[in-house]
Amino acid sequence: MHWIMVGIMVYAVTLLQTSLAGIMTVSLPWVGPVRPDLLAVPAVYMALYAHRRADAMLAGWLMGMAIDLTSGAGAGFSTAVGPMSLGYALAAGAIHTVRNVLFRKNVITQCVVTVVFCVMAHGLWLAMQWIIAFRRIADWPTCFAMLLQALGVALYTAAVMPLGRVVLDRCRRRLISSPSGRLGRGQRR
Amino acid sequence: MSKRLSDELYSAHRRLPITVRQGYHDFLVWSDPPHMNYRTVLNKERLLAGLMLASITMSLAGRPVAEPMRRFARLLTIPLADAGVYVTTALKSYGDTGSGVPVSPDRARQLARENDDLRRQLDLLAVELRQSRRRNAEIQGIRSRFFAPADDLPIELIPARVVMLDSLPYSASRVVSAAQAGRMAPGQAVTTRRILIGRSKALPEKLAVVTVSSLVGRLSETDAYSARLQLITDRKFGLSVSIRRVADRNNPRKIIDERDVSERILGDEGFTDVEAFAQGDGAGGMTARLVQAHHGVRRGDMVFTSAGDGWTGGGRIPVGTVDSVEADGAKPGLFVTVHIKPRAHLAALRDVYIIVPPSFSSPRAEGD
Repeated sequence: MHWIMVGIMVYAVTLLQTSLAGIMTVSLPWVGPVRPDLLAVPAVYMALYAHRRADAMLAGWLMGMAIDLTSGAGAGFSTAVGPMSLGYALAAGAIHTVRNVLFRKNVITQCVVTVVFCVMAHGLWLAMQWIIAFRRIADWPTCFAMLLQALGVALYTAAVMPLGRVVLDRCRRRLISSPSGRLGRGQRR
Repeated sequence: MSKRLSDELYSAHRRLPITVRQGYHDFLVWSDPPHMNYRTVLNKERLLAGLMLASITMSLAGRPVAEPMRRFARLLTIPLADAGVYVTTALKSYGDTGSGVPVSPDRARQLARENDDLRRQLDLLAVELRQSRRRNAEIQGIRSRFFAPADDLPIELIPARVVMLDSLPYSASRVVSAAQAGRMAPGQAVTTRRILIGRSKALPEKLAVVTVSSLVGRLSETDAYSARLQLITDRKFGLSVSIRRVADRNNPRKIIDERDVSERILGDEGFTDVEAFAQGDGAGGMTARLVQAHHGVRRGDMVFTSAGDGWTGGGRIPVGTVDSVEADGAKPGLFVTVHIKPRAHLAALRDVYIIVPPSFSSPRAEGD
């Protein structure tokens, strides 16, 4: 894995998430504001194509930490740093574990995997935030509404996944290295 | 392959090709020393385990750990995120076509006649008013040139700019009932923003923030050069407001005059504003509950901050307009719930001003 390129990509997507993603925000009745989790797209891609599970989980951890550092989730109940990085890493590891039984290049498969990834990561984030911070100020209807919101985020992100995959396919060689011991054509040691 | 054979192959730490037979096929592979792969795998896994443990620890530590880390992250993201927010707010402003009550032709002609009458009245007062305004403007111009606060509003205005949104949309959201669904505007319900301030020292929290026309929120989580702006639509935002009932001769309303408990037609004279407490609903507006029904508040009435409120510098700042009024669920005959639509276009918020009354001073400047 080319970690410097991965870090640059995470930074760029984080900037998009915190600025231009406001254009993509829609408000749904009974759900609230929903916008795509742009960092989930490369995280799912890494989970599907990274050669080692540790690489996929490390990349997921890095992207989740970027979200934790750029999200305060409202004044009055500031959120903790760490839950999203944990959620992303665990979800990436789970996806990497089952990827061999999936048709990775199939668009529908990638969308479904994205929904599962977001539900796992955001669900874990919400659960940890409820335990740490929200339980003092949020009631059960609000918690249920946030779960619906997380599902909306997952579905919206899945809709964006095909476009992200096209972009990431072009950058795969710069992000994911060849497995150790296998030389490319024309390379010598 | 036996351990002895693998050791012999890698005695010089070189990779050599070997043939591995599996079933009926031979594979030519570059084999790696098992112990070298073992160390590599362990290093990454150990790192991953350490990072996961750090995540759990930081989660349990909460805000004391989160704030310094986020402060550092903002230094890296704010300079470039500003450009993206500029594009976002520009597009949101372009898409806002405004909304209002449609006017019939008869109503339009009536309004035109009323305008003519009012214009004639204004002309009679214009000469005297023009002279006094010119004199006042000269005085204000001289004072503002030296950055002194104006006499009518002894406050300081600090310009600021919205530069960043939250990366997650869960800020103060709530379940919206079906009756309210039609009033939601897209992209409006994320109720905090990160703003950039040209001050190296952190400002005090809870200062009012306004645009050129209305109140938009207050500061929270202030820091050097930036702060979090809590919008008026945030569920945790509340303030005392004055509802100014607009007298309409074509659609008079009956109210109970509290001075002598008599029923009267609302006119322009002699009636005080209705005091209430408004709170953000987390969805794009504000709600003022337990407003007495006999005040006759209705759609179109204007909402201001309460007079004498030191938090806003003493001035009456527009907040929004009454969007709808519904009977209170518990006591429908006595109280009503007023839904307020903010005057500012919060989805396209870009340039704002922070009100600093003379009584405020930075706690950090005092050694806090």
